[in-house]
Amino acid sequence: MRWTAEEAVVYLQSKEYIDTALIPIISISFDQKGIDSGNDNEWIQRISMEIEKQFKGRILLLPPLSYATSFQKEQRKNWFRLWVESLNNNVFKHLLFIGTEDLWVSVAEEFDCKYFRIPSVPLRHLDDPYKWTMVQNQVKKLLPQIVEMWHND
Amino acid sequence: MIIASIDYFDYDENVLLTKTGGIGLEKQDKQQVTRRQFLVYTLMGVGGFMLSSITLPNLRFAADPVLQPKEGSDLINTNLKVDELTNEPKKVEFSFKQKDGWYEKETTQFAWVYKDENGEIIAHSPVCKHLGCNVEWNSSENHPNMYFCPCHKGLYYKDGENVPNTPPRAPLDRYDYEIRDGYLYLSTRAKEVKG
Ligand code: FES
Repeated sequence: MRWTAEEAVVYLQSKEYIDTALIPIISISFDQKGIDSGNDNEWIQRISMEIEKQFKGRILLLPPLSYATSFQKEQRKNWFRLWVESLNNNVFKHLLFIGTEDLWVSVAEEFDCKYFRIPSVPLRHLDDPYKWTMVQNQVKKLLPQIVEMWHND
Repeated sequence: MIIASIDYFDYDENVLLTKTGGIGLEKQDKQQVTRRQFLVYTLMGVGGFMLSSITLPNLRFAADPVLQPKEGSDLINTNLKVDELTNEPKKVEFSFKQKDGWYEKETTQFAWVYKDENGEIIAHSPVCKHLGCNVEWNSSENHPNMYFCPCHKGLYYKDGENVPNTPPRAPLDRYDYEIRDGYLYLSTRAKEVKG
């Protein structure tokens, strides 16, 4: 499900079935790095939406969580912890974070969450069918991992 | 502010659309009787660092009626020769561009297609009738020769009929089809099968 007017209602009615949150993590910066940040935002959101499309009935795709690259290490961890706590609170059984940054790998591990680290791909100048193929290739690798995660319930 | 690109989430088709250089987008839900329009977009500022989501109800830009999509659903060439179809459901992907007002959107979806014992072609939508995950043919070892939904173990027989005591309450939807010059054409929208 998506976090929209209509699907939020379906989510609330079918909560017991939708036990997995998919959470894109996006970095935001206001200098030269902003170009990468915009790129990765699009890339991660395309992938997330494709995963959601496949598993609409069990995954709630949250709006991306963004953090400023100026956050210090401890602040980042705190930010992540607050989110994990509020989502964990008997709301979701599985938290699935997805992003391009390495730095979340260890943080997610520490909080016992799954984090898909996706290699960044420059999307500028690519036409849509090609972008689509690349998204599909990524998603193909991720879907079995999600099914396996459910399998181990 | 200059809008570099607009990402537009199409909730009917489940696709992300990107439009560059424009300021308004419209989406007309062909299926709804109310023909309610709505507009959801994400703005990305120069440099792509700024992001916000705005929903504007009932915003309609004048568009030439000639450019409006036709009611109902178009038939799309899947580039698959009908000869290649067997009794075994096959995953058939098809993409199409839809003209909507003054932009085109690319949509890709798939169907499970096979020939039944009468040689009749059946094209199922993969969308599970429980809560909408995609089903796969023959993907569960414990339930061979069925459609299996990985989300809550929903099952369907080959003809699309839902297996009792699994979550789905209705058979899989079906696409309309046509054969032209030996190629399979499928409708953009699938229809419900009355049980
Ligand atoms: S979405 Fe298919 S069984 Fe629940």
